[in-house]
Amino acid sequence: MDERNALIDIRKSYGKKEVLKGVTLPLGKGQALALAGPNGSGKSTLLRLLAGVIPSGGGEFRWRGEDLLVNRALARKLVAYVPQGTPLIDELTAWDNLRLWYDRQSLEQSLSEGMLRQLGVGDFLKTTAGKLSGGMRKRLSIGCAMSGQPEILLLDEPTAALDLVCKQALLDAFDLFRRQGGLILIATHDLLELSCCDRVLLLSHGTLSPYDYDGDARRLAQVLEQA
Amino acid sequence: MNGGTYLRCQAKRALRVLPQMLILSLLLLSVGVLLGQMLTQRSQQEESKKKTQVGVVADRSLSFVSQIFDGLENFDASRFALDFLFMEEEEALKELRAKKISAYIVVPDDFVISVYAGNVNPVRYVTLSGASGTTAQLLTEVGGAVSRLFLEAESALVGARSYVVEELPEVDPDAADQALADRYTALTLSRDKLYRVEILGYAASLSTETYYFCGIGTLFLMLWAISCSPLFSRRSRELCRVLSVRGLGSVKQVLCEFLPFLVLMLVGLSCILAASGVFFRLYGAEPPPMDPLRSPRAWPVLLSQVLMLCAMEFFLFEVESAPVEGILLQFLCAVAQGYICGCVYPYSFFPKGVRILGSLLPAGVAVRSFTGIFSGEGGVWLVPTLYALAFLALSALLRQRRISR
Repeated sequence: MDERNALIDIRKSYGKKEVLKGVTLPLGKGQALALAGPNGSGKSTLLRLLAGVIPSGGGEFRWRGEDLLVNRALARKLVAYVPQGTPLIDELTAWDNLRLWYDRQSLEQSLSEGMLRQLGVGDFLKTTAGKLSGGMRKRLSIGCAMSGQPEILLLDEPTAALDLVCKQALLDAFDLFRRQGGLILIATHDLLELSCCDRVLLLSHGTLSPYDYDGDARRLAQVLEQA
Repeated sequence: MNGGTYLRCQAKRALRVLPQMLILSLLLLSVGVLLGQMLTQRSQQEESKKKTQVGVVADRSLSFVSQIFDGLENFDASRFALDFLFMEEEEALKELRAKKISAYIVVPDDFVISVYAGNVNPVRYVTLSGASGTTAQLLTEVGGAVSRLFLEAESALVGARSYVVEELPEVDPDAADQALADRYTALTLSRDKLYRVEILGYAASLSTETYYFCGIGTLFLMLWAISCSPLFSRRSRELCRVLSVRGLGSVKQVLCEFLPFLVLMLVGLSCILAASGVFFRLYGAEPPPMDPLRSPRAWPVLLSQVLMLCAMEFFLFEVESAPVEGILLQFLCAVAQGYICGCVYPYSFFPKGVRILGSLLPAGVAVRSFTGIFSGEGGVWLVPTLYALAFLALSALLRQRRISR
C-alpha cells in the first residue's frame, strides 16, 4: 500500500461506543470511492473526522505524505467537505454566498471556465439562496466547497432528494473533478452514485471492507441488512 | 477563510433584517409606552387611595367655613394627604365606626363667640382608640390648624368691622360683615399652590415616571431581541461546521455574528429614542428629563448595559434557535427577569432575598444602572461588561459542542 496517500487505522469513539475501529484504506488521485453501509454505521462520522469537524480518536489521514489530521492548515487547502445539508446563508444571494469562500478574481474565473461553470451556478447568481430550489442549493453548496482548488472532495449524500436531471448534472461535475486528478470520497445510499464510483466500500461495525458492486441493488440490500 | 469576510456577510444579513426589526420595534415601543402609562396611573391611583378621609361637622351655610376647608385642601396642592368630607355628626360617627373615615372634626356653631367670651367651646377632633402613628399626628395638627384658621379669620373680620364702625360711619357694619368675610376668604384662604409636594418616588431623587421609564426600557430591550429572531432562527448548523473546517472556529463565528447584531440593536435603539418623544406626546405622557443622558459619564454605562443585554439574548438564541421555541425562551426570560428585577414593579417592594437575587441578574444590573444615571448616583459598566463576555464565552462553547456533535 502506498502510505503517502492512505487512511491508516482511523479510530473514533463516543464514550464507550466505538464507532470506527481502525479504518484503513489506500487512496489515490483520480479515484471516486463510495462508502456504503446501514444507517448509523459511521459514514458521516468518518467524513466529518476526515474533514476535521470532529477530532479523531487515533490514526492518520495521509495525503502527499502529510498527515492532514495534524496539518490542519494544509488540510484546509486540500480538502473540501460538503455535508448532508446545504450550508448557505439564506438571506444572501448566491453571489454573496460564493463571495464568502472565493475572492472576486477566482470567483469570476471559476464562473467562466471552472467548476462553477460546470455546476451551472451562474444561472442564478442574483437570486437569494433561500428562494433557490433543492437542486440549485446543492449545486451552490458544492460550488462554495470547491473554492481554493481542493484535491480531495468529501461528499455526504450529495444528490439525496434531487431529481434525476440534477443528480446527473452533479455527477458529471464530480466526474470532471475526478478526471482532473481529484479524489472523491462519497457517503451514499444512492444507486446512481454507487454506479459512478470506481470502488464501493462497506462500512460495518466500525470497519471498512471492499464490496464488488455489479449494479445488483437487491444483493447489496441483503448484504447491508446482514452487516 | 477570513473572519472579515464572514463578518461582512453577517453585516449584510443584519441590514436585510433591519426594516422588519424597526417596524416590530415601533410596535413594541407603543406597547411599552402604554404599559408605562398604565403603571404610572395605577401607582398614582393607589397613592390617592391612601389619602386620609376626614369628616367635617360644621355649619356650611357660613361662607367662610367652606372656604376654610377648601383652602386647606388647596394648600395641599398635590391633594396628597387629606380628603375633607362634610357630614352631620351622626353620620360622621357611623362612618368612623365603619372605618370609612379616619377621624372627624366638629366645629361648634358658637366656637368663635365662645373664644371671645372666654368660655371656649373647642373644636373637637374625634378618632378611634388605638389610632396612632403619622396619620393620627397629622389629624391632630389639622385639628389645630382648623382652630387657628377659624380664630384668625374671625380676628381679621372683627378688626375690619371695628375699622368700619370707627372710620366709616356711613357704612352699615352688619351689611359690611358678609362682604368682608367673602372678600377675606376669597383673597386669602382660596390661594392655592402656596407650596408644592415633591414625591421622591421609589429611589432617591427619582420620580415614579422616570423609574418606570428605566424599568420598562430594560424590559423593552430584552423583548426587543424577538424582533431580531430572523437573524437567529434560520442559521445553518452545517454552515457552522464547514466554517470551522475552513479555519473559522466557534469563537470567531460567535463574534462575527454578535457584532452585527449589536450594531443592529444600537441603530434600532437610536431610531426608537428619536421616535419616543413623538410617542410620549401621542399618549399624553411627559418624557423623563434626558439631561442625565447627556453627561459623558453616562455613555459607557449605557453602552455596557446594552452590550450585556444583547450578549444575553445572543446566548439564549444559541441555546434555542428554533423559531417558536427561541422566541418563547426569550419572552419567558425577559418577563421573569422583568418581574424579579423591578422592571414593572419597584424592586424596593420585594423581600430582601428577592431583591438580592434581582440585583445579581442582568436585568437587575441594568435597571439599577439606568436609575443610577437618572438619579445622579451613577451606574456600573464593569459588571455588565463581564456579564457580556461570559455570555459570549458560553455561546462559543455551545457552538463548539454543536459543531462537534
